[in-house]
Amino acid sequence: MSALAEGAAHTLPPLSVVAASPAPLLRVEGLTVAPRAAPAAPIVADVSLSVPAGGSLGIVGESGSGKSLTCLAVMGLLPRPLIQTGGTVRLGERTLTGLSARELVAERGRRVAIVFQDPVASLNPVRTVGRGLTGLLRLHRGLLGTPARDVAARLLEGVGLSRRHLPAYPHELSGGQSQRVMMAGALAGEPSLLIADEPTTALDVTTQLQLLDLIERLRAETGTALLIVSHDFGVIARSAEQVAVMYAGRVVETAPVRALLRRPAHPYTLGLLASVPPEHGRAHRAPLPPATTVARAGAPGCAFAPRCERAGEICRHARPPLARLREGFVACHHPVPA
Amino acid sequence: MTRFILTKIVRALLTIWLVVTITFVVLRLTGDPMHSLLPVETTPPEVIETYRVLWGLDRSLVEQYVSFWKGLFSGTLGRSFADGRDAVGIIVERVPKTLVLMGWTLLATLLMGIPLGALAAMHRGRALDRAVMAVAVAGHSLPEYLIGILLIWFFAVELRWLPSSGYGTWAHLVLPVATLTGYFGAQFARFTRSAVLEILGQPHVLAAHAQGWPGRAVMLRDVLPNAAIPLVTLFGFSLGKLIAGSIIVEWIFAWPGIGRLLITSVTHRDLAIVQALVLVFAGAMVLANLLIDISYVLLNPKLRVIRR
Repeated sequence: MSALAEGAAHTLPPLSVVAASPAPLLRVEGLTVAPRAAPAAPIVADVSLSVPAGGSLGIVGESGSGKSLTCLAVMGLLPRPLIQTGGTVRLGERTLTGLSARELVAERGRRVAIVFQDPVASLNPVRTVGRGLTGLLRLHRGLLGTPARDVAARLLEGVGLSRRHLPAYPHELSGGQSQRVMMAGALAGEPSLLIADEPTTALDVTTQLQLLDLIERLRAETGTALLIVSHDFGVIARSAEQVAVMYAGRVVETAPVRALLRRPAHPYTLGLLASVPPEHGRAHRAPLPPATTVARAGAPGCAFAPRCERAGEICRHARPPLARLREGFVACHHPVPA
Repeated sequence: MTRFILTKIVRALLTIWLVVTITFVVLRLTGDPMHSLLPVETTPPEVIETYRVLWGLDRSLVEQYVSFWKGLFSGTLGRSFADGRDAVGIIVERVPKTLVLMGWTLLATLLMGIPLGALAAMHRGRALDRAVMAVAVAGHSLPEYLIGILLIWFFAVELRWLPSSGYGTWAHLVLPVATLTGYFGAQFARFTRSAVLEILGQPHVLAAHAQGWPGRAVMLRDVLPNAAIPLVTLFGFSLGKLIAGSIIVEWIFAWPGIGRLLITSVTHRDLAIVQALVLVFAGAMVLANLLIDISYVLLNPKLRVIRR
């Protein structure tokens, strides 16, 4: 099976194998996020990820698994009650962790851009699409007047809208159109990494597909790397080459998308996949049992153990490290056999 | 938009008519003005009767009302009972003095209230926020006359820096404007703070930060323009309160504007002047509300579509 050959690890493996991977564009190492009020109780713990230049990584997991917080931490935009207590975020040659607020501002939009889940609310309701885009072009590329308007129009055309949308206010746009405008804004600074945090979740199904196609096309045209977050395996499978599964603030499995879909190693991944309606003749598996307690990243043992039918005694006491298995890495004492 | 403004203007005129009519009737039903103008016991009845005829008070209410409107359309509002001068002339002479007071108050209120409120919101829960809000709550809770008297006591009596009353120089302006700003600035600071806090929590503010806008630009481009929409509502309410407040402040500081004129005219039952002043106040309120309605539409693009 060619799945083995696809396994050029884009997600950060343990240090022993780092040397083998190509120099990544985004490298997150040991990222830990905790409330300021309780630094010892992390919400995101020891997350390591990497995205190669021009490559793509999907993060998948249930709500509350720390996907979005990981993205915000990469942008340096954690909400005030939270703080990064450990780890480093590196973008290209530059270490973002520890930069001053002003230095971080200079990176945002230019080197790394992000689009969020709720596109309609993400647009300033009192500013037209055109003024929003020309503002960004002035900020990032120093463009003014007619050249700025022309580039703004071209950006809109690039995302499947047109010059006619320049004078439109956000409330005159549909959800899909709003997300296209957000994408145009994200690309205004020609970033080398685009983060898409649940970019299609708020949209209806047909619009979702169009947007995923658009993301794919834009990546092909601009060579931008992509970090896409979703709770939906369908979205990840469509837009990412590599996937990281997060549970309770930790990465529990990472592998090339196709390998992971074919042979999930972590029982949680298996359960997540079983929650997706079967397709391509895949056998229907039992979905995940509901969580009865709040899973915490700081708890001893494996956070998934209470919901896991494979869990043994060791799972409750010792947290499994992320270890190589088949084409990827899995943090599990009793991984699902191939 | 034209239709919208026309409807508003018709309603505004209706409001003015109602206010003027009600005042007219109430003023004439609450006692004979002769009793406060002339010492009734010692004045010969013929004299009182002569003045009654002179001012038209001998005629029926309806007749007086009709002649009032006739006068209004020919540009006169009667004569002052006290000194016989033309009411319009007296008011025109005093309106600018009140406008100076209100204008500086509004300027000081906006320039202090909005930045302080925004600053407090940005430092939510920290020392600066608490300090600003403590002062604002005090300013908003104390009545104007108390603030005014405290300021007079401190700056005029104790320090002797500023005159306690009167009109004419910049120094005379400071205490009355400070008194009014103490109240309105506090109100604006509190309201701006909550409006800004609400906008700060919205996704488009996070998006603006993510797009690489520096904090100050986010404040000026995203937060304040959106927070301005509820602030305009407060501004509209405040104009009414400002008129009321300036009446009190003009009285305390002997400021020769229309507020002080209103109090003296009411005390002397100088009907023509009171009537004319009510018309001016009603007109000012109605005009202010009309401008507020129009600025809503200008500030909030969502309303523009509905009105189209």
